[in-house]
Amino acid sequence: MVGLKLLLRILYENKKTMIWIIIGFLFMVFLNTANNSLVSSKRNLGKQITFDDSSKRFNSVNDSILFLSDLINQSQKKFKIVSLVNASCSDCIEELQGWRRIRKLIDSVRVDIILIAYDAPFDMVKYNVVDVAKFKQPVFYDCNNHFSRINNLQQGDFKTFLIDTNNKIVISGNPIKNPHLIKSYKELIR
Amino acid sequence: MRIKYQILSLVLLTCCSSNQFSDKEFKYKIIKLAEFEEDKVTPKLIDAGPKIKSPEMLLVFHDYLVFSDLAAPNEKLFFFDIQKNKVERTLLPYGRGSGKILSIWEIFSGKRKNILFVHDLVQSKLIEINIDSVLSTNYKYSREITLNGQLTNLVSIEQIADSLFVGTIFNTKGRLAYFDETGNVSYKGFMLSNFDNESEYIYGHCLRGKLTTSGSNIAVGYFLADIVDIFNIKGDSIISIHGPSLFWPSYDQKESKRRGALVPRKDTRVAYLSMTSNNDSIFCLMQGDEGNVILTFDWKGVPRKKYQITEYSLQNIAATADGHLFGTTSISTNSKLIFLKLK
Repeated sequence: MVGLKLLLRILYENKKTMIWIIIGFLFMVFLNTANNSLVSSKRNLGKQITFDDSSKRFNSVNDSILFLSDLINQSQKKFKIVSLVNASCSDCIEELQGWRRIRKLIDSVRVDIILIAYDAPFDMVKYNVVDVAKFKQPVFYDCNNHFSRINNLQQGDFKTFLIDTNNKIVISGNPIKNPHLIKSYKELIR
Repeated sequence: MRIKYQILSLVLLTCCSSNQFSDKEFKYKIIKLAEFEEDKVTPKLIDAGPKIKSPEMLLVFHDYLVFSDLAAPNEKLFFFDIQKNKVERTLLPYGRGSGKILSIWEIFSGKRKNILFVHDLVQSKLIEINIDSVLSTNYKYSREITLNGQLTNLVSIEQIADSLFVGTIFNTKGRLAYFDETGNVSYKGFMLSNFDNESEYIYGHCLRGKLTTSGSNIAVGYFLADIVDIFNIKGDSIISIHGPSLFWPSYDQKESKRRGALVPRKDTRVAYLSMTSNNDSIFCLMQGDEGNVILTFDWKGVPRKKYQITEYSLQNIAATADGHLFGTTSISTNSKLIFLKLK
C-alpha cells in the first residue's frame, strides 16, 4: 500500500513518465487486439460452405474415386474442420503433421477433418503429401482452385474453418498456427 | 528341352510386344542454345460470347478452337469456329457419370482423324469425342476410357498411335508411361539428362512439364528446369535443349529423417508452363521475369523465334496448323482468350 502511494506520488511529480506509461499500456492493448485478429476472424462466420465433386482424393491405397460431397453427406459427425493446405509452401506441408496432433486433441468421434490441397502442380502435391508427409487421412486436390472459387474465398481469408451440420462456419482460423484457438475448437466440439 | 522352348518363346514375345517404341537406352545429344532471334507480337483479345467466363485448357482442332470453361453455365466444353468467330457447339455438362465431367485437365487430339480426347482427372477417365458427331444434330459422345491404377495419376497425355498413349505419371522415376486402352502400362525412356541420386528422384516425381507430339515425335518441357527434350519413340536418342538462361530446379528441402517436402523457394524459377506443336514447330510457353516468353523450335531442336508477352499472363497455349497461337490467361482471376499472330 505504501509502495503504491509512493509510485503514484512519483508519477504525479513526473508527468512525462506517466505519459510514457499510458502510451505503453495503449500499445500493449493494440498488440493484443492485433494478435486476436490473427487468431480468428469473424468475417466468414455463418457463411455456408459449398462442397462439390471437383476435388480429387489422391492419397488412398488404390486411388479409388471418393467424391468430396459424398464424404460430407455420409458423415455422421456433428462438426467438420475444413482446411485448405497451400501445397506450394513448406510450412503448410509441415502443418500436415500438425493435423495428426489436432486429431488426437479433439474429440474425433464428433468431428471430421477434411484437408484440401491447392496451388501447386498435381504431382508436386502428391509427392509432398504421400511420399514426404506420409499422410494417410483423406486429402483432396482442388483442381484449378475450384473450391475457393465456388466459395468465393478471397486471398486474405482464413482457409481453415470449423463448420456445423449445415456446413455453416462457426469458427475460422487455424488451430495449428494458433494453439489458443484449439480451446475454442474444443469448447464448441464438446 | 521344354524349358528352353519356353524361354525362347518368352524372349520372342518380349521382342514382338515392344515393337511400338525403342527398348534401348536413350543417348543424349545436348544442344546449348545461344540467344534466340527476338520478335514482337501483339496479343489480340477474343470475344467468344457472354457464356464464356474463364476459359482454360485449349486445343486447335480442324477449324475449331476447342476449350474448357468450368465457370460457364451448363456445358463446359466449347467448340469455337475460328473462321466464323463464334461458338458453334457446347458439350459435357458438369457432373458424375457418362458424358459428364468434373474437371477438364487436358484436351488433346487423337491419332484417328476427327477424334479428340478430354482428360477428366477427378473421374480418372478419357472422353473420346468425334468432331463430325459433335457438329451433327444427334450428338453422342463416342466412348470413355477408364483410367485405373497408376493411370489415375496421369499429369500430361498425348496419343502417339492407334490405341497407344504416352503420358507423364507420378512415381515412375522420370520415365514416360506408355499405355493402351485396356490399361496395360509400360515405362520407358528417361526424361532428363544429368541425373544424380537425389535430383533423379526429385525430377522423376515432380518436375515434369507438358508433352506435345507430332507423328512419333515427342517433346517435353519441364516445369522447373529450363530444358526441352525432343525424341522419337522409334529412335534411341534425345535432343536435350538447354536454354540460354539454363537453370536447374531450386527447391526447399527441410532437414528430415526422410526426404523433405518439395516446395518452391523465393528464388525458384518456373520454366515451361505449356507446350504445343504442329507438324513444323514446337511452341513453348515459359514463365519470364516480366510476363511470359514464347520460344519456338523445329523438331530437330533448331531455335526459331522468341516472343516476349507483357500484356497478359498466359497459362496455356495451342498452335494452329499455320503457326499461330491461341492462349488463355491465368485462372487466378477470370481468364481470357487470346490470339497471337506469330511471324
